[in-house]
Amino acid sequence: MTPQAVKSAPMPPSPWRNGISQAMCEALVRILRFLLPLALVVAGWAMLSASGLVRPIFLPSPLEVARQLAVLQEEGEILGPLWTSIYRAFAGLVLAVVVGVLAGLAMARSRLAYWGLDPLVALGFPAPKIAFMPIFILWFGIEDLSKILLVAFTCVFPLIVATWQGAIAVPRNFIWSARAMGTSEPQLLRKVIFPGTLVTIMSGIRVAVPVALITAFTAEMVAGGGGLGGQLMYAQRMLQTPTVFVYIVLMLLTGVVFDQVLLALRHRLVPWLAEDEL
Amino acid sequence: MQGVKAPLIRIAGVSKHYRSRGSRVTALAQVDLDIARGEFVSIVGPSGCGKSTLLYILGGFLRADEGAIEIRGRGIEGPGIDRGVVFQEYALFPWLTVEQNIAYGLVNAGMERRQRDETVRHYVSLIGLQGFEQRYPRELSGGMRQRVAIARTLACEPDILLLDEPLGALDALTRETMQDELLRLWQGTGKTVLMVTHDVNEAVFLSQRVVVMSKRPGRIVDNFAIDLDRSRPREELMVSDAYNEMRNRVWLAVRREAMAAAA
Repeated sequence: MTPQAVKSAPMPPSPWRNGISQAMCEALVRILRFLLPLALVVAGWAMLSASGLVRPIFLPSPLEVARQLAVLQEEGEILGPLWTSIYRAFAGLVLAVVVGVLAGLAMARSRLAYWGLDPLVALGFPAPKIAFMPIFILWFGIEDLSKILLVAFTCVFPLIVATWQGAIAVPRNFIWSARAMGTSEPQLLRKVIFPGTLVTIMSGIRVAVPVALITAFTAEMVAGGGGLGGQLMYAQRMLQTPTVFVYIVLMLLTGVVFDQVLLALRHRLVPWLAEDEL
Repeated sequence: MQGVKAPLIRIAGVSKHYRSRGSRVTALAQVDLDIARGEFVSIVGPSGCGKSTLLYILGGFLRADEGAIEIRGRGIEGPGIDRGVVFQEYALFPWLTVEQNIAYGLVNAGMERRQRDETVRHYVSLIGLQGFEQRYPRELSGGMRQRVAIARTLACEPDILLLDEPLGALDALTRETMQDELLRLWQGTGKTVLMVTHDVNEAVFLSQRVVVMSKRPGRIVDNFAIDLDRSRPREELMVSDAYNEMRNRVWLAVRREAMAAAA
């Protein structure tokens, strides 16, 4: 019996309310514990700018940045660019997942696919994909399409590699057991190889998420065309340092949210894994 | 033991080679073995003697380089549901629950929903895992997992069971319990069983025949018929003179091969 159960035993019947507040308390503590070091960094930042050692044009105070956030929100300069960037990163990521998983599975199961794709992956995996930005602009324009495709192009290689590695590591016993239980060779991919690879695919996606965001923001900074990156560079040229910081903070938050959403989804997508795996 | 009827499984002159660091290694050399319908045969031998390789060839996962294997007088073309396989470990699908693992082969066979649920229930109760239907393999003990693996294979109703050290990863006590269950299952279903093990006690306790393989290249060096009254309880059987004499003979034969392998 848990200590809470013992405590609530003589109380009138409301153990479920007790349970909920208990869970909420724990969640709150967890969030506070997570936020405290961040608060310390912000406090250090506030003290540094309050000390007058650094000119506001180089480092505006946190309060100034927050104020600027409100101003930009008033002017409609926050949500629009934010959605533009998220849309580009997300669309590119989805495209990369679909193509990367299919290519990785194909490479693991077909000699022909491996022969055809391996050199391309070897070349593309370590390549600085942002170098293709001018070409992508030339081919696909300055707006969303070139950026989505660049994100996909950047993310597809880690996903191919993760999927391929996961698929070739599916234990031989899984495949043989499935075959002995009436799974045909074509069915193997869907019934054994893919589910057996899902965990590494999820890890691959988790690696690809920051890559997608970095690429989207960088592409916007280099090429313009709106989004948080484009707005940031524009503010930089105008020497509006508080605005630059606002967009930086938004980029940081976007990354955290993407990652947390993925972690939350993980329990639905690979429910057979223990909490501490992946 | 082989009777006058044609054997269910006939292994004749089977050899298997593979390449290792550029040199050719012979895993199996001219193996002959007949197994009658309903027989429980174990293969024992030093590790690396190719006993699992023989099982995999029978399973249709590997091809013999020489010789012939016939089941009911016909050659084998790859894996088939007439031969159920249980591996030592890591063979339950971790992404499926106990229930889904047992239903796996039934779904493949296109069994309709109601009959499938009933069959799954039957096997869940056979292995005593009621209440664990919705658990994932990770949430089970080693013994439970292996019981699910055996149930999953039995649910496909194969004529032949190929067991590759099925209890090898279990602790000694669980192992004995599982041996009792295996014996009970075999006695209850009359399936033909070929089991690879490195445990002489296990082989003698369970099998009607124990085949001893030599060190690599694996060939069959001894073939012991084990005639024991298995209706007796384990504690009685295992202290009996008949059991111990048999066990010692098999053990000495295995030991001779193991020493030769070490030399």
